[in-house]
Amino acid sequence: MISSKESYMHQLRGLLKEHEQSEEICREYELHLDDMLEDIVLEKQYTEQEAITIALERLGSPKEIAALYQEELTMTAKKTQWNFFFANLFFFVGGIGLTVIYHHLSNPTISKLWLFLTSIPFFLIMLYLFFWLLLGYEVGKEFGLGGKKLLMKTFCISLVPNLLLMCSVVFKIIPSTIFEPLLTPEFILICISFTIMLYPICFLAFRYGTTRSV
Amino acid sequence: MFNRELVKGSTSLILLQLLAEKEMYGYELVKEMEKRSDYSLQVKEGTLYPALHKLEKQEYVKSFWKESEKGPARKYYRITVAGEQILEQKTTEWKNFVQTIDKVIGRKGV
Repeated sequence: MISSKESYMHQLRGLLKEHEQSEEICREYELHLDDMLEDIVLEKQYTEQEAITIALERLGSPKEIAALYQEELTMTAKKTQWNFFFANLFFFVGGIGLTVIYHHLSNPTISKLWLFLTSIPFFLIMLYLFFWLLLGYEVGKEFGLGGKKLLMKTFCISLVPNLLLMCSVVFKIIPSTIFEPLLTPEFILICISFTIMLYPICFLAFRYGTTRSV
Repeated sequence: MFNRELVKGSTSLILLQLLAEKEMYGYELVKEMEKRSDYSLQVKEGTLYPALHKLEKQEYVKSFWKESEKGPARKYYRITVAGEQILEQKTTEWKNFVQTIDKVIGRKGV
């Protein structure tokens, strides 16, 4: 049981030490406590000790407060940006890995999987589209209208693997034959238009996310 | 006193509305909230600052330190243009929600 302002602030400082604005946050709580104590003593004629007990109860425990700031620390702009980049990279590494294994090993399970996946390219496109919708939505929901710059940055960074693969195929660094039967003219056209449409789609999801930010 | 979850869900909307009227510091916001609700809206005051800081991260409010009329400098909060936009959106959504619930409750004759 905390019984003084000093020990309350000491505990709060300790719990918030990881937060980059720790000092400023603690200063706000300290000022808030001072205001409360002044009002409680003045209005309700309590003793100083009674006032402290009431004020600390109204403010909530340092652990409760720190837990709320912890939520904020788990979803920082940088973490969001890199989470989406690595998720996209994971799709590419997975796809490339599967292609390489399919061409170099005659494993019946891998061959079945490859044939199945190459028979549903449009379903895969829709599934992949969901990833970009999720990116926009999450940034909008967490960072609100102030997340526009973060969205653009995350989008550009996450798109790097896509562009690298496209260029590698176009400039024949990777032989296009390894992606047969996927690389039909129709599929390539869809991929190009889809890449152009990615940002507007992502932005629409971002706008929708902002409506859930408050 | 209202259900805690209900109050928690509307805290940001209330904060934005109060800040749309004038810039205030944390304790002032609590007092104003209590006064306007005839002391029915009582939040754990410590939870107010994480909500304000989240609104600041989302660029719906801006903060700045300013000397107060009496006592030490305080951290004031002010609504931004983006904050005004989201406030308008959420207020409309809230009013529609309340109207709909009223209708449903009314039909049941409660």
